Amino acid sequence: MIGMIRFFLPFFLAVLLLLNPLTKVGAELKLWISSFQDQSYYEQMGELYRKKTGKELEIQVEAYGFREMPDKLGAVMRTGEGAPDLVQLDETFFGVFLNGPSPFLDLTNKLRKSKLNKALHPRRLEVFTFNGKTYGVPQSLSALVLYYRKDMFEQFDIKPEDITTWEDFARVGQGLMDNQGQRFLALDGTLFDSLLRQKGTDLFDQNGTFLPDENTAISILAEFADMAQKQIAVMPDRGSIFDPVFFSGDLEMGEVLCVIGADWYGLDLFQQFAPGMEGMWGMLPLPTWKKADGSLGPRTATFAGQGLMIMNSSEKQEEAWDFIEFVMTDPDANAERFLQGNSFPAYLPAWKDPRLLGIQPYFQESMGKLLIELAEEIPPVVVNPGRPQAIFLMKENFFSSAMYGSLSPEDTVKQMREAMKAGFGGPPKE
Amino acid sequence: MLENQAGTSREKPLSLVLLLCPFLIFWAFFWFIPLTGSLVQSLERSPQLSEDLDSSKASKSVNYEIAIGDSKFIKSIENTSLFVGFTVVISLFLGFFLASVLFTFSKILRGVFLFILLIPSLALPGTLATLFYLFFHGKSGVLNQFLMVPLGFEPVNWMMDPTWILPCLIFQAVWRWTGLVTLLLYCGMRAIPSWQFEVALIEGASSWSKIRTIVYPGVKHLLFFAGIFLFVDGVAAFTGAYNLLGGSGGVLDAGLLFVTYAYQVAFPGGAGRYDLSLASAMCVIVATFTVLVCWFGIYFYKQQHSQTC
Repeated sequence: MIGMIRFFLPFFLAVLLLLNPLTKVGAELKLWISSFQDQSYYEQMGELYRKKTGKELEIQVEAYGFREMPDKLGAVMRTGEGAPDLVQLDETFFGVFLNGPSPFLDLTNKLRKSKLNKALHPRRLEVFTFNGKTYGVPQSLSALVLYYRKDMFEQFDIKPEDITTWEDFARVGQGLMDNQGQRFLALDGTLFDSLLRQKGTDLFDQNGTFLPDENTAISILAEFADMAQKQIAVMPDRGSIFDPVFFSGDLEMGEVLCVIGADWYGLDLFQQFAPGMEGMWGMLPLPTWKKADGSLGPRTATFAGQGLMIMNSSEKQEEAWDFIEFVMTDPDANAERFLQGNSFPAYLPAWKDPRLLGIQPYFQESMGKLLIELAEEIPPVVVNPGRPQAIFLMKENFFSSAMYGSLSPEDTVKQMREAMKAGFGGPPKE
Repeated sequence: MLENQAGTSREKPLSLVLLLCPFLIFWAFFWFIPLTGSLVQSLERSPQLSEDLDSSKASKSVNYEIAIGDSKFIKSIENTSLFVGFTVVISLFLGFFLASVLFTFSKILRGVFLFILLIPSLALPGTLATLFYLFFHGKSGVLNQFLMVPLGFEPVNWMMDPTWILPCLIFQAVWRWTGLVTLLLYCGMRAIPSWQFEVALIEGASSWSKIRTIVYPGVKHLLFFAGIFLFVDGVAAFTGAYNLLGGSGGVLDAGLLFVTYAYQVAFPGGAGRYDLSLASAMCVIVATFTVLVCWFGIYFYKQQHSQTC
């Protein structure tokens, strides 16, 4: 018996040693991300971080769906169990977590100390800032461009330089519909919020007033509803340009010639859902509106985009910040984010990197140069706790109703105001 | 002898409790505790409620008051009632009809048809909904490609036209459950003693008369069971509507079902809100209503049954 114990004791002790958490060297960070495509990127960044800094840090990446991640975060906040150290959250969901005490760490001082507050595009940093405190570090520029079918533009003799304003766009689209029976643009309810900013207003103003410029909101809806009723612009079947079926159906079948999307839309969704269309799509600045003085308004606006946040509950906040700082500032980390089809970084020094400015293989033209050209024109976003609800209401309910003519633009705005009253945060200010 | 009998009857409740223990434990864990938790949560002041809310309203029932005054909640209840009503009636009627037809088939044909009819109810709701999404999908969807266009009609945008959204959801639910209802009713029909049909044959009873006096009374308890099952399933319907409408209620909320709306209110990913307390209050209202409808249904069914007996 004693002989058996002697024989097995070293094995038993070895197993215990291996299982002992104290034997693990360095910290382990749990990162929740809301995109399955980003999983390998962050796993690689963990390795790159260890290699370049020499620090022992394990990044445990857990990928969830775009909507699933905020749901999980909501459940964690409610139960107080299983919270990650870091989260990658889309700016459209950020406002949901602004009611009551923030679950995210205030990064304002850390950003200032690391000078990231100057190195990140100010318009992007603002989308994760509320009441003077910055809670997230933006990953992407998220500037909207007009993706267009180069081959079909050529076939129908449409010159990209002829489309400067939305008025030009409607005129060209009308000609295309009249002569060829071809639809021009795919619509999505999420465009409304970006179009508002492109036309100089927003969903909320700094005082929290909902739709502060109602006339502009109505005019945008009227203009696009007119295009929709003339079949120049169409809503996809499930009302979303983010649906995989939209790419395999509407886009690959040539139902439309143009679609509006941010950098991540072209880098991630296009390449993932329509890989067979490589080389067919080009990029243009968004058509715009003329200002009262006759000058052109901004040729872009932003929509969505992920940011990295540290949870207040995390016991490894310093390690988490160190990792964020590395991912945001390291030239390879920034280049890889672009090259791996994630997004175009908001970190300004990275914009000189030739890897970001070169020809993008899918579009066979430089995306980086166009985005940098447009970056100065990005209009600001007003952050408000009611913003996510307003975006979703417009996307899921009201935009389609307005485009199909089920609701007039005036009634759409009126009913949306009513619907916003049912949401959290109390009734929005009139 | 008597003592022995008394001992057995005393032991009976204990053995019954022991026998039911696994069920009771699971029921407590998965039903009673979450339901009680939901009830407690519905009485909590929602952290999302604005501080400017009238303080007189900040009572325990504030979430219930908000829920009842919420037009989208009312709309979701209306839609769910229509969805459940049509699904139950159409599925039961079709199931009864198909079971009656199958009853007349040969053994092999019956097996083949029953299996085919059962396939939709065996499929996962998510898979089924994805299939239906391709079925209803705009111009390139099966329904338009193989029915509407060949018949000379204009293609219908099934999932974007408010007139058609709810019928599409009902169609999906009917297609899923009719096979199962058919199987249930067919089993019931097989259990009817054959002498009843023999007597009807001797008496020269018509088909309608046989259905009215033999088949229907023989399966009405199963019809009732299937009705309750479909009713509860309809109230809790979510996956099908979620997959078809992408988590929204569709244009003008024409397909907004109750659970979809509760999800939208409760979770950040639903519609940019995060109000678990309000969603709990909505769930408690609907759960109470569902229990009451089932209870009244069973009560009246028993009343009617005892009268006919």
